[in-house]
Amino acid sequence: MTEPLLVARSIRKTYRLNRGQTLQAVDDVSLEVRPGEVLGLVGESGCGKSTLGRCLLRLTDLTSGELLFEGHDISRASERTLRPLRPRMQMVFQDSYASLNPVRRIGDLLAEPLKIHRDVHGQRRTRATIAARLEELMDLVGLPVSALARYPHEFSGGQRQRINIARALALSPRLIVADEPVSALDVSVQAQIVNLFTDLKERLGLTYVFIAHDLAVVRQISTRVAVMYLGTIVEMGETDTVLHTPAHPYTAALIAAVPEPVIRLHASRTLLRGDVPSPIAPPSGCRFHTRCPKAEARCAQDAPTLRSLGDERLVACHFPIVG
Amino acid sequence: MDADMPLLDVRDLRVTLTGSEKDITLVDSVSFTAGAGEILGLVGESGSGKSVTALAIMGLLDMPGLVVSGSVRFRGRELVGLSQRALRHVRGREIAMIFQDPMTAFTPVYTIGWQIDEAIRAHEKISRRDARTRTVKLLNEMGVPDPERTANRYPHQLSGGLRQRAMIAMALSCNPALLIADEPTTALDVTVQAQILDLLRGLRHDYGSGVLLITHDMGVVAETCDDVLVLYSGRMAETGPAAALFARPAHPYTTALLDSIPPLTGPRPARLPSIAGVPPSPAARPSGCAFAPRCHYAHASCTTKPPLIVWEEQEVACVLPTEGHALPPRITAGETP
Amino acid sequence: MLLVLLKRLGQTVFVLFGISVMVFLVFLATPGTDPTSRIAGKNASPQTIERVRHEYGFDRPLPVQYATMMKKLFITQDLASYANRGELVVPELAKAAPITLSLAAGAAVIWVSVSICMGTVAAAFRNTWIDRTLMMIGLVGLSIPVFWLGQVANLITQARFHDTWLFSWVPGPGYIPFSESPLGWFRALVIPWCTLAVLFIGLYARILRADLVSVMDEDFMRTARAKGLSPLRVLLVHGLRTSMISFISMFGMDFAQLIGGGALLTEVVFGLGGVGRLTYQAMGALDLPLIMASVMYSAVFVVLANALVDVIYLVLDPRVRDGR
Repeated sequence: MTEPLLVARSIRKTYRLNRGQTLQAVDDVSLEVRPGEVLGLVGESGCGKSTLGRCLLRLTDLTSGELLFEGHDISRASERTLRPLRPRMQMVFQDSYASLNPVRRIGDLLAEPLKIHRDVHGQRRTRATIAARLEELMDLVGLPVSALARYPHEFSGGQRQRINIARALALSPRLIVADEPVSALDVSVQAQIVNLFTDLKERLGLTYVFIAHDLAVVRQISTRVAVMYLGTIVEMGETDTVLHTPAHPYTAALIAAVPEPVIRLHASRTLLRGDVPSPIAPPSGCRFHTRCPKAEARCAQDAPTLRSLGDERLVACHFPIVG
Repeated sequence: MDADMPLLDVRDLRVTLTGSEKDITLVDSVSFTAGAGEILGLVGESGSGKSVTALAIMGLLDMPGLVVSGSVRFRGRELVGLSQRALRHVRGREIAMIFQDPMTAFTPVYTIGWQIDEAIRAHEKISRRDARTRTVKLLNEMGVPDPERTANRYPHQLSGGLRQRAMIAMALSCNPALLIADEPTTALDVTVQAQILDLLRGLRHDYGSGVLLITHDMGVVAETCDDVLVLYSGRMAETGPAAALFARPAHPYTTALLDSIPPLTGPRPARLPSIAGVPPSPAARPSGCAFAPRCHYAHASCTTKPPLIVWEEQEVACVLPTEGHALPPRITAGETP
Repeated sequence: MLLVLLKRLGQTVFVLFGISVMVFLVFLATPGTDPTSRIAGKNASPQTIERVRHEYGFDRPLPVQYATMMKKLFITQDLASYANRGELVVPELAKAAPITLSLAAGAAVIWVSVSICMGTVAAAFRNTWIDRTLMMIGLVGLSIPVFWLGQVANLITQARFHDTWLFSWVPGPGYIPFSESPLGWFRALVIPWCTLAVLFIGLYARILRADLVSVMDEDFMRTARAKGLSPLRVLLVHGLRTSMISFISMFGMDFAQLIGGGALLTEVVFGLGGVGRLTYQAMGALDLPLIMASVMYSAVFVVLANALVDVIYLVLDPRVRDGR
């Protein structure tokens, strides 16, 4: 098997709130991202998927744990040592408008990373190479070259997300972490952007960590899926395995809760009770036990760790669903 | 009151924004009826005019420059052109509304209970104490745990799901005949969304209310609604019973919208069937069929605005069925035989 | 809630201590100057200088000097002005403070109530002629210099129309203590109040109008209307309370600076011996103890007013109470 592109071992991210409270946004997460795969991160609000995404690119400092990118330990690397690696790891955000400076032309926005970072030979890029690269980028994301001379507000949400993708692609990265890149878009536009992600991956041999709350979107694009709940991964494995035969009761409940555009005659399903608990005071033991239909006394005491169920899937549950 | 008179009868509703160089029609001849105890889904993407329609029914579109015309009959009574004073007695008491984001929809400086009490006391002459008793009872019925204490809490102290339950409790406080829910679950997590949709479905049995559910999510419609109205760029694309519409959508837009949702079961398509381009803004709506520029089936006759025709159980604004080229039934992976 | 209040009180005390140290350092421990001669005043005799040096402990270490000064300011209150022939400073301030406080408080009552009315009415009728007229009046008030307005008011009420039925009740310039005659106090101050308030009304009405108009687009205002509430109730009960934040912040600042001597012009025009005028005179005479005492005094008021504003926030907005 090829060497993983990104390895995270027991990473934690704790935020200190006022009045001495702490928020464990990411709690002891270990995962690998292999070259060429799409790892989908799913979960509800407060599960820590966005924070994890930022941790994976070291856009925020880790509280503890180890993080390797292309074999380099970047868990405690300074911004200076990270800088040569930055072009190879990029991020795309949800809010396509907020992440584009409204008073600058698209061309200037996209040229910026090309001007700041040197090329593979350590040379500054010339004006002509930059111009050629910008046209290439527009072609990759399916926008006309004329878009370069325009301002962010002149574009629709979908087009702005294409621009954001172009910016992430500018320095030819290997890894892109996309945080809810389609959730603010209309359904018809969302499909275009999901397809664009798929096409770009094929054409450029990219690797994605794709963060979303929409299971169907994650299923469409991911090769592997990690399901998160309150800062921990509860289940991780091949997309089809996890989503067709979920082993963790939370994964099962999440799938059951997705409304599908199909009329079902007997629309009966087990609903989870209550809301996601606050990550400031997470439940003891298994964090899901307060809402779990299968919870037993043991679940309130010991927290289950991720273990294999024979197949390539990992699940953190004392009583996984089998068969 | 006539027994078979629909609860809400909207005819040729039109909302126009005047004042700029050109009048912009935000909602263009929308007609539908909603019955008691029924859930009607109003579906569309951004700019489809679905929320504007709801606000027009409530008489809440009184910004300068907005002109509402057509007819909105509620229990036989015309609401368009009614004075704000008269509308106030309809709002909250006979037609109630819940909104997308329960965080911003409550006034942040008053407790949840205070705001529900206020809604009750706006329409009924009862004491504070009696109002609070009813508030607590409603919160309890909406599945809010520990309703007495929750009533005394402020909006920001509650989770999104609880806030939306409280919002529904407030909407139901005067036992309205019609509940308009504008994207009630969009801001919520999917497991909480399922609970809220369950609650909305229960309303028609427990309260006999009709529900007008506004959403962009075809999945939510399929799981919740009896009838559907698909809007595109301020116009009706297709309307009919949910079962018929999902089995055999007649408008290419409905089909495309359904197809562009990634499936959760069955084989994964390599690429999603997507609709090219973006929904037009009402100002840039094409003169013929609004969907024509993005439609696979667009042809010469689409340059004129298609009339709404009856086809099977639906009504559809498309020329294909009359030209003998009706769309084939939909194949869905998760269909039960 | 109580805990938050106590915490705020602790902060206030800490800030006041910090300010007193700063004032002390700036006035008396500036390198290269001799505080003794500055306190003793111009052309002081060597004996006076020696007495001052001993009295203030300038021959002793800095912390002792600080403690002596604070003792003289707050405990024994016998800080004396040498420029003014040994006049005690603290009682002088204590005499001026009620005058300024009366002036500022009365003006505040007028400007807060009038600007709330004006701002609310303008927001309710936004983009109509009512809105435009009110905002225009406010702007005019904002642009009139207070000394000019004061002089005109004096001219009308003291000279030109003083003998008519309209203004015969206005007493001559100067202050009448409340304890002496409440009615006289009111009569003496009502014209200065109005004059001072005019400056603020326009600004506050504009701020409030802008905040109210932006709050009108909020979801909760739409919810309130959808409940079937009357427009007046929606505006006053749901809108006003949530849009008072900038209004109150500004009020805290403005009120504190008025009390701290900012009402100088008004005090001068109407012959009121308030803190502003006292400080101004002290500056002219280079009366260091008096300047220092009044700076300390106004700092105390600015800090207290800020603490008060925070408490008002706590009462008005539950989100602040929960520290969000």
